[in-house]
Amino acid sequence: MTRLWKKPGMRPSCKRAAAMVLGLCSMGMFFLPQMTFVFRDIRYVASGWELVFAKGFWFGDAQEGSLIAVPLLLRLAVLGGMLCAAAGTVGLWCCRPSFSGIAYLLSGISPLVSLVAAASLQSTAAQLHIHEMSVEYRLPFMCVLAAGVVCAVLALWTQGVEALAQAVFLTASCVSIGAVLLLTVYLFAAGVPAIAQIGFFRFLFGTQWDAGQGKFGIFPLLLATLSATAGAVLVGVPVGVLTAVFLREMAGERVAKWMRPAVELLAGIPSVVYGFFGMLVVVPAIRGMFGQASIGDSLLAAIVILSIMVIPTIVNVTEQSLGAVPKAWRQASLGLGATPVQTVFRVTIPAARRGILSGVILGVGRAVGETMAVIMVAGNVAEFPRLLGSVRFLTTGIAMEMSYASGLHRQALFSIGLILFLFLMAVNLSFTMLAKRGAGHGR
Amino acid sequence: MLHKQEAGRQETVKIGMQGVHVYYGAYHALKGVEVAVPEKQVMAWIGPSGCGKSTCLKTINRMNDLVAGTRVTGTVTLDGEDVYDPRTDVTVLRRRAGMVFQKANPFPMSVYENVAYGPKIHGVRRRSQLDGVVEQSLRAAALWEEVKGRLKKPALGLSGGQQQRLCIARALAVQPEVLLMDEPTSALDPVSTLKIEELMHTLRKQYTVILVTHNLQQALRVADQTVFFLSGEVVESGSTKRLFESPRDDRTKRYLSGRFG
Ligand SMILES: Nc1ncnc2c1ncn2[C@@H]1O[C@H](COP(=O)(O)OP(=O)(O)O)[C@@H](O)[C@H]1O
Ligand SMILES: [Mg+2]
Repeated sequence: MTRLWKKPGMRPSCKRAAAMVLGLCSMGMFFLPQMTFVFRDIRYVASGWELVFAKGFWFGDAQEGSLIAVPLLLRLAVLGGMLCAAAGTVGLWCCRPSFSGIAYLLSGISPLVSLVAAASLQSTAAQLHIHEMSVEYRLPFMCVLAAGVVCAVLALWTQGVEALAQAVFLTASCVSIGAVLLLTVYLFAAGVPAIAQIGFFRFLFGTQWDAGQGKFGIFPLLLATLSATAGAVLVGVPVGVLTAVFLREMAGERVAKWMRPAVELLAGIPSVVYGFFGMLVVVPAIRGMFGQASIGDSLLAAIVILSIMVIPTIVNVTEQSLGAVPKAWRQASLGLGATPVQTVFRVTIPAARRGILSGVILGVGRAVGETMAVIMVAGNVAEFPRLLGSVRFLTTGIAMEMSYASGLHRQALFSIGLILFLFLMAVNLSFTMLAKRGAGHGR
Repeated sequence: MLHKQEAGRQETVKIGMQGVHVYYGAYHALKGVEVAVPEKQVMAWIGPSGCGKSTCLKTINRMNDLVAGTRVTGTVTLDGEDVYDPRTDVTVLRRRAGMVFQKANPFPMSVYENVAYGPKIHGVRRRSQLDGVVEQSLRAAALWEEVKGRLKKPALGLSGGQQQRLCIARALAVQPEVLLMDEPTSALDPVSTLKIEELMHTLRKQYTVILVTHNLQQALRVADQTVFFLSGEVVESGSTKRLFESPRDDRTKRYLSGRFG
């Protein structure tokens, strides 16, 4: 109808009213007794609110590692979710729509956080043989999630579509960052206890990995992963970069038109297929070539397969970054009488250095993280790596033992995951530094 | 080869073009161009955009080779030697005929590395020698005083005018005989333009310069000779003074009075 009182700020609207009502409802939902919460034969059917106080703020003793942190998180999530819903409603009342949008969103997310916390609580409990424990979430928590999101949208919408759109972008980025953050936190929570129990140096530099005898030294696995990655990078990077240079700078359009999709296809092949190829071709070839010295399943076979696997990534990324180098620099170089080859190596590749380095990082990531393909060709014996001998990698260690491991063994596998994560972080960081240093000539 | 001059003087021809046709695929960009560039003078090429000045310039150092589907017929000579002879070493040709582009394109390296790039490519290794060449070239491009304290700084941090003079220094560092400048000041402010024009006066003592320009005043200020291009042909050429004061061709007259182009 007519809008005569069009003053800035907020005006009473149906969106605002709906958001406030829904916000109150979702607050109420935290009180619904729909959560089954069972712990050591004591059964509760608790509402979220009761859960916050049931059995104290945490349970288990300090030895049981994550049994402390996780219930705490669970309770904080429930409590925080409810408070956020309340804050959102109050915010709308006081004409703070952006604030209440965020608050509603947080309250909507809280059940997700507690779901995650509950899931890890259960797996931790199972690992400690506490089978009687379960935390189940039903309808109310899904409702809280939906209500939180709807409330947030309504609250922000009162500020116009522009504000809503901005909030959506912000939320999307928060979701991705949040996922990474959550994973990181969880990885540390799961990985640290075993390291603490075994001892950092005994774990990292222990030379024996034998779960049966309770020996958890990952040094052989670490060394195997390092050498396989180094080998793959040493072979894959030059081949990949030169291929990209050929495709972008030398090959005619007709050749490139065929080769480019072929290389891209190579990147899309599932790793099992690479493993299959390695098993049927590379392993027998190595066995044939070295006869007595090797059974074929070896570090060398893994390096060959990994090299092939990282090449397409490096080619694609390098080619793109070469393509982004301005034509003017090439022209300037050629105009000074440089040959095309000199131009590529002295101007184009240095100018594309950042892109090439990020290709290398991706390649390293793939090589370090690869599991399936190397399981099939490496022989998987946890010994000190020799080029022609069987080796077990960090990743293959986790994959092969996780299904039957329990207790400290299982936790040690989590810790291996943490080490892998830290290793890749370190690689990433050091390459970034490398790209920054000496990039001072760029813009 | 000799070139008849208005003043009756006779001079050595550095670059000669006879019946030069250039095709970009099916497009006929140059239609029988005849130009004789006298040695150690500044020659301006003027004409409306798209008339083929850049194309013509690039036939001299064979930068056209880089464009797929380009065909060149006719003869282009440098010191009487055919540029398109199959035995011509393109890298030597391009060293002898350096190019400065419309948009300054310094490499993403330090100021020093930019100037030293050419000499290094052509085999100069000794640090002392490189230092000498760099200083000399930067001085010749009237840039030394401005950058001597920041030789190790990124070239892309210089101002537009400095970048263009750096490109000139970079071209000079390989000791060329000819400088091909394709609208070197069209992206610059008046002060930088003035500096480069002043530079042109000193360059003519040592180098043969072809200056493509849209700025008629600039041609008048710096060029000894001027050639007027129109749709892929040379309409008129002669000493700058003569061409501007009494153009013989009606089309030249109309272009100079700003009636088209
Ligand atoms: N690489 C190319 N491919 C096809 N046509 C071109 C190319 N370069 C220039 N041309 C055409 O040739 C003509 C002359 O261009 P150019 O020499 O750049 O003119 P000018 O420098 O005098 O402005 C223009 O009509 C232009 O469209
Ligand atoms: Mg042009």
